[in-house]
Amino acid sequence: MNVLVAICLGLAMGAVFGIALEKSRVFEPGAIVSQMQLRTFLMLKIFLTAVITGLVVLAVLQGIWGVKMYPKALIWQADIVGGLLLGVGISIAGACPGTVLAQIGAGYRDAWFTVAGGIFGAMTFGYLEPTLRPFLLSGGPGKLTLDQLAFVPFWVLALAVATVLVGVLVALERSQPWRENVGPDVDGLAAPASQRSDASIKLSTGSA
Amino acid sequence: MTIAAHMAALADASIGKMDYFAKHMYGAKNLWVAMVIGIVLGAFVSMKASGADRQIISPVWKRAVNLDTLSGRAPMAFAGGFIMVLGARIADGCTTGHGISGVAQLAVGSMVAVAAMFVGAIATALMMKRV
Repeated sequence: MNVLVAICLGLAMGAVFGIALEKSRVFEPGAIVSQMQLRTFLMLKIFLTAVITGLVVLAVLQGIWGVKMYPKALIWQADIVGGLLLGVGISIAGACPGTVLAQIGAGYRDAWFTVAGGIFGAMTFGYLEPTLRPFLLSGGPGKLTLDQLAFVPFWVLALAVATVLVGVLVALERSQPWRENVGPDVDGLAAPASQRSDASIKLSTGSA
Repeated sequence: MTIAAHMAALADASIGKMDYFAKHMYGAKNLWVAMVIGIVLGAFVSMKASGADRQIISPVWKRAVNLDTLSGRAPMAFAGGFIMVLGARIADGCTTGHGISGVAQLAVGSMVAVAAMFVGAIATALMMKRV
């Protein structure tokens, strides 16, 4: 790909992602921390929406045009250890590696330190990688997908999973409307438990 | 990763010979670096367009860990970023790569990584004060 085309395409893809992260409020540390304390479910809703969209788009692309997929390999230790660390970092940073960039755009200054820590983490991994590879980053059954395990075409299972997730999404939205999730200052921070209405207290105890 | 590799290369000239760094330094990575800039710009424009403004740090940190200054929050943000990206590199993907792209391809490895991510994040967040 031509360098100029690559840069323009990257900027355009990033801008769409950045606008979506900002408008959905999912970049807010308040939304992330309160999701992980199971008080609000805004992040999960946005996440599921993105997954459902991905499933439907890929089902169409794969079912009609047979596009090639690029699933990552299943490596149990790497996925579990890496996933746990990633999660711990997400709660401490109040961001994930994509939303931290939106935090910078939105004006949160601590996000620059998160990025600096992240660059340092990537650098550290670069040095550790040869040591970790034999026991942490290799082995496992390789690229394994649910449709292979179930012996059904990808697009069929993708649409089925998308349908189930739509149901989950509707149930989440019914139990906690998004306006309640974004909070009075639209910063993803719902009112403290002491100031909440009876309805939302009931919800938060019910969900926790 | 590309940015990290080039920064490490400034300090350590032998780095281009290490496989993992080299893979990320000499491929066609312009797209991804441009995308990083695009996310920042997109969020900035989106925030300005709605006439909103943010404080220096999110008010959630006052409630969760009683920090309301940038200097108090900065070391925590740095540590969080470090652990987060180290984990993402070990799992070979983050919330977007495993969570959205991976799960949407029905990849089992991505579902395992996402489940582990939520377990780690929930356990950590529950150690903070209720927000």
